[in-house]
Amino acid sequence: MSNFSMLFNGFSVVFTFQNVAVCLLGAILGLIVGAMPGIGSLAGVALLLPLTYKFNPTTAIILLGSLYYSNMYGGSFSAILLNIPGDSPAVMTMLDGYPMAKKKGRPGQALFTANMASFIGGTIGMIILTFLGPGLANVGLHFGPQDMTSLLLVAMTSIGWLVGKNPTQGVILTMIGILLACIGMDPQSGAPRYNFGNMYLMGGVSFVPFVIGTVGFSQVLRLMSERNEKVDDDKMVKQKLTIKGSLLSLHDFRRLLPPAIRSGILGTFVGVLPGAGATTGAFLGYAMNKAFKSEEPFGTGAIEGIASCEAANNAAAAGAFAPLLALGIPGSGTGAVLLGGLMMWGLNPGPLLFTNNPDFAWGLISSLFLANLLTLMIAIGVIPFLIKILTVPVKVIIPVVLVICMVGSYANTYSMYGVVIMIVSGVVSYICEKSGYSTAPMLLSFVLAPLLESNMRKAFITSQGSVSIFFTSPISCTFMIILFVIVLTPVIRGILKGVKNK
Amino acid sequence: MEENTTKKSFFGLVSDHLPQIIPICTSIMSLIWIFLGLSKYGFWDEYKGPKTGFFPTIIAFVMLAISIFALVTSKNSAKPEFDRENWMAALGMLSMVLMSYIVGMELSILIFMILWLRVYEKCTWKVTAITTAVVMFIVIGAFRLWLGIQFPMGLFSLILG
Repeated sequence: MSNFSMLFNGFSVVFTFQNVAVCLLGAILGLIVGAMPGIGSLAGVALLLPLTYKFNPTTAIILLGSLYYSNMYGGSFSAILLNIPGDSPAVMTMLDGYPMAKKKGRPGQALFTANMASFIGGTIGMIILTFLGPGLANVGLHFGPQDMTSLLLVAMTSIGWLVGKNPTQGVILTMIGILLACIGMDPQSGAPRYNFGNMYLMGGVSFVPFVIGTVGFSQVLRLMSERNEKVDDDKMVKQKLTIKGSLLSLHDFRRLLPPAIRSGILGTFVGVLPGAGATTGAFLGYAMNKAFKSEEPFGTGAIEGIASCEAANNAAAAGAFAPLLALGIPGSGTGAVLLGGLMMWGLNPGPLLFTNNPDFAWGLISSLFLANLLTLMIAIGVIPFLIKILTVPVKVIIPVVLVICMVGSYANTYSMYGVVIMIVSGVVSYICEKSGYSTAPMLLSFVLAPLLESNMRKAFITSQGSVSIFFTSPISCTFMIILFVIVLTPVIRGILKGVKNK
Repeated sequence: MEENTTKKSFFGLVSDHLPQIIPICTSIMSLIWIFLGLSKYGFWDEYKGPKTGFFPTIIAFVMLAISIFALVTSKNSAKPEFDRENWMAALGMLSMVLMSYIVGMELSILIFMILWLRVYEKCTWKVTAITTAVVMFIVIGAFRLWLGIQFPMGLFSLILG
């Protein structure tokens, strides 16, 4: 069956009352979470994870997927109206969005441009995903354990390399994530290990409390010092917003379309790369379109500027689903949480997902199309109420998130053990983040560690303990070369820096 | 006063040396994993191949090497600054957990929300009431009634039998 007919089958899975309702709920929550500065998609998905227990896996992932996706829309709202990015990809949107809203007095059109570009970029990303996903899965089917091992090592180290300022710190947290995942039972023999005689640790470090702590609780600790910061009244766009007054003219739409299409294509491929994500997508999309002709210069409130980064970040969010579903390798922290959720529901993303669970895989892809359309409609519908939503004070959000962190962690383990895991991981992550360590690599490696271990052990059994197996297969050898470059670059750079300083 | 100065200098000391403390901690963690991996869980079996400690030991060795490298190059790392205010959230969370053992989790959440918003943040009664109502709706409506989570009742369960 062709990919498009599989996609239509996916739509038949999605179009149930429950699935459409959760997709709508995810889109609304994602917009709110994205719009409020400081929370972000990662915390949003992590905090919502415990609420998905009651759903079947397809409905649950539709909820989380639509939340993640619509978050990309929401991030631009505060960037355009308050000059504060709701999430990191929206930093680029701010460059043209805010001048267009404030200096040119066109806040409605700036929001509409962001929404339309997000929709176009997202649609392009999803169309490419429809073809790329199963294609990647077919490639993945030819991977042996040694190839999978090297690929996983590259994915884990590259995210540590790309996220955060210091690659060495990224690699350290990657290793911590793997070692923490080793606590509990040996996945192959079932023997207990590294539980230090603790009964609770026999089952391992619970994923949900760990993620809630690492992302949600640590975020609250960080937000505490920012909670009294008020939105600068002079900076806020105060013009009354109406849907009618926000509509774009045909001329504006013609300006928006070419950069949105270019960024949509580029963003999708950026999203496929591990660790690159929506922020890199937005940056590259903006940089690429700057080279093209635009009616106004970039950075002065140009429609082309807003369209180029918004289309790219939404396309990257869609593209990131290709390696996640086809190879079981997430490209970002949010992807890692989604992958953890999939595993929690008993699904194993990877080359066989499209064959063994086509309803699920295609249902998810179809739901992204639906979420894209629903989010566009909601995003346009909320324009008149945006200022009110955006000015909800952080000091009110903090206790709400604290309670959800505690209740969500308890609900997962039915004991205070989950709450303890959440508190410890939150405090440690906060200290690490303050010291410049990004925790996204730790989440990614925590989720991928069992897959890496089983493939690595299989490879060593096949080779009877020889490491040459990783260099005899061409696929594995290529990944190993990439791995060495990633690992050795910061080391060599550090040595050279030391020599220079002397 | 003296106690305050001592406390401040202790936290200041920790904060100043955090770029070194983190790699030292990760080195200790890797040494524990290596020790247990090699001595307790085993590394390699001649016939069966990798044993339980095989994978964690390899990863711990890599982490040890990188941690030492991070320690050596941490001299010029930026020292993080911590604000005491940030730890209030952790204190709030801990007090909520401790209260759960006495009055139960739901009641402890209710008390926490009111105290935090009204007393600590000095929000108006209207904001406090609306936010607390939303939170209680999520806790009771979504978690207890919909997901069927039984929250701890604390000492109340003893009184209620």
